[in-house]
Amino acid sequence: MIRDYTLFIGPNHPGIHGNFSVKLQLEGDTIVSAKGDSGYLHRGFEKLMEHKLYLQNLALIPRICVPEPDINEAVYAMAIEELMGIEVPERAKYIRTIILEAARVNAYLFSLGGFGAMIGIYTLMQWSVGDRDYMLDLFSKLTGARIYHMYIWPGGVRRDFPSGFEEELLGWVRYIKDRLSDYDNLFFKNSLFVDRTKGVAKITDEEALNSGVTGPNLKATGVMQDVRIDEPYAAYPYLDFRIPVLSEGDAWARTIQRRMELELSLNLIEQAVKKMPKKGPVTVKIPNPFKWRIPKGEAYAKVESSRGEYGFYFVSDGGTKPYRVYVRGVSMPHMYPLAERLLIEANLSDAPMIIESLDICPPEIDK
Amino acid sequence: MGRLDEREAMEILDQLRKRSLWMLHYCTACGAVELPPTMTSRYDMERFGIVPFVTSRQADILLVTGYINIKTLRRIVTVYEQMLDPKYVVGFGSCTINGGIYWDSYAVAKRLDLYLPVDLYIAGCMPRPEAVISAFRHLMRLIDEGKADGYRRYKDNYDWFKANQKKVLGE
Amino acid sequence: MKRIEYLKRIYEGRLIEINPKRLLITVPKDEFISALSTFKVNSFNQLTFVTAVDWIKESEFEIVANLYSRENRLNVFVKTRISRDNAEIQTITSIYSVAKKYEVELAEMFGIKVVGNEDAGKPFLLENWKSKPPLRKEFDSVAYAAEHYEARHVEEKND
Repeated sequence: MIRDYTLFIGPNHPGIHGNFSVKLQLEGDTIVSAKGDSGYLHRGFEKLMEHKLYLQNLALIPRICVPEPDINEAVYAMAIEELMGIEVPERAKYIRTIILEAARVNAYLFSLGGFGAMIGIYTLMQWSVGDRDYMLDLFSKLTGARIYHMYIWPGGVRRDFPSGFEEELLGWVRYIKDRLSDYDNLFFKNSLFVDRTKGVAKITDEEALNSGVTGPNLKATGVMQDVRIDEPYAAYPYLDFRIPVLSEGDAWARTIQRRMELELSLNLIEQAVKKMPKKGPVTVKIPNPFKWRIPKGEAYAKVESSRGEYGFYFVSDGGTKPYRVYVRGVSMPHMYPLAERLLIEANLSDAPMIIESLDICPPEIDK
Repeated sequence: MGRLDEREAMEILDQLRKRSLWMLHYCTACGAVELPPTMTSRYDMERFGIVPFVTSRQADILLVTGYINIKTLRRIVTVYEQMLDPKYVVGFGSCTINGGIYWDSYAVAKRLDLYLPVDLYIAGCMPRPEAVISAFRHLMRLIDEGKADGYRRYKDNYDWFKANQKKVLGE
Repeated sequence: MKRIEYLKRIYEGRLIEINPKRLLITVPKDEFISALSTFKVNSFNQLTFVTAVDWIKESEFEIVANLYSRENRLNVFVKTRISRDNAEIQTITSIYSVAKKYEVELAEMFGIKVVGNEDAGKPFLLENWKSKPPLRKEFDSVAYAAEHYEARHVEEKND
């Protein structure tokens, strides 16, 4: 006798990374319908930003997306620079590119560790979180803090690299590149991973384009769309790279796509360090914070984060505080039409793995 | 060989308990990004006997990592009441002390010790993994001295805690 | 770029260019759905977001939809204005189906009624919320937080 049952993979669950819950209707072992439940991380950023001066917001902004905080600072700075019409010095553009790519590698290592725990390969988390920690040491040497840097600000970056930093950074990049073959043997070529993810939760390219999907989820279906190529920012116009795409569209392809982009990011860091101008200013002088007014207008600034297209829609009315800021989170279209649809007709034991393979980050939905 | 009275028995049990505290693996808020480095091989808290565990019925420590959203507060109180005695609450980060950077937000509560009995606070935004391990060792010392009695305070002042929760959560 | 020239022609100068990658057009309320449909057919077939801005001094809400064209690699803001009292709009899920949850967020945060979307009006991020919709300009977040959530009393010393 098969019974109907309501189960929630609730907030207190090791299978959910972050704090949100999914309510499932089951029939035996198969999921019949799924509904997401958000709001456990809501702080009201869009309202908080309207009360603070432009310089005070710099302390608040990194906390919107926790695993990868540098993208928040970069879009805030880019939106203000577009409205004020200032141009960032060239050395600062290269520094921003290096920081954003290093943050991308950290975010991939963190999420791959979590994904390994869903399949049952817990060793991957021990390795990847440990390797990511060496980069956090370098960040704390450069900016003063491990997680929330507050380093990229409108006009450039806060300070220049200390002496010897570039050699240590390249040493870390070489170390991770050597480790990639170990990761392949442990996880990416492991038959546990391949058998559990091949053919599961498949998306076609037309479905992905109509559902607002961006980032590695879209590239794994064969569509090439990336903000670094379509609308290049920072130092990407000067770098030379090609992004590989896969075409299967299932959970296996999405994970392998992330692994390929991790390797591409390591190559981009090496290229940027080599091409960077050796000396130069790193910031434009910012005005007195109490009198810093931004001309009236609106702007939409976007970057390619490790999950997809992340942006801020910024409206200014000529005053000293922002008038309206809208945070375009990447994971909103991934969760709300897409994951709820992919969970139907799936097996219950695959449910956390499907949600994790789309790399859903709850703070971006809740803000 | 006489029999042990209750005080001596509690002392022996405290010595055993403090070496095997199990932490509930509930990533409440943004502080949870510093928990994987603490649990894995670089800062390794498992050598002190602290292991993350999934069910609340068999966990000893509730670690409230970060700010307290109102919707999460209701679930934290439920989870705390599901845990069995003796249990300890540790507030992680500046947001549990006095609201932190979200002091003017309409969805974040400011003080954790009005709703749950807190044994220890860790200050910082973000606290380093070494700070977390040092806090756990301090908690072990408090258990040794018999001062970590939050669970008894909750039972003695149950009405006061419940009135505070009802005022903020509605019902 | 032929589609962009065609759109500029049929909108007779209302479609302006803020910078080479961003276009902007403001349409009256009853032309909003047909404008979105025209843009979708002419290569703007991805919806990035739908949100609102509260212009309290003019007593109006401005609904902003941001569309992206993959072929031409640019974004366009399609905007319309509605009045602040009894604010309501028609749903745009008939054109872009991904807009459903964005409209739920709009209804909860601003109090705008969305006709045709059965999920709008149900709680999404807030639970047991009895006050005004939070993103309206007359809602004072500092006063609400001071009244509802008790802070720790610390004595101030200036020594």
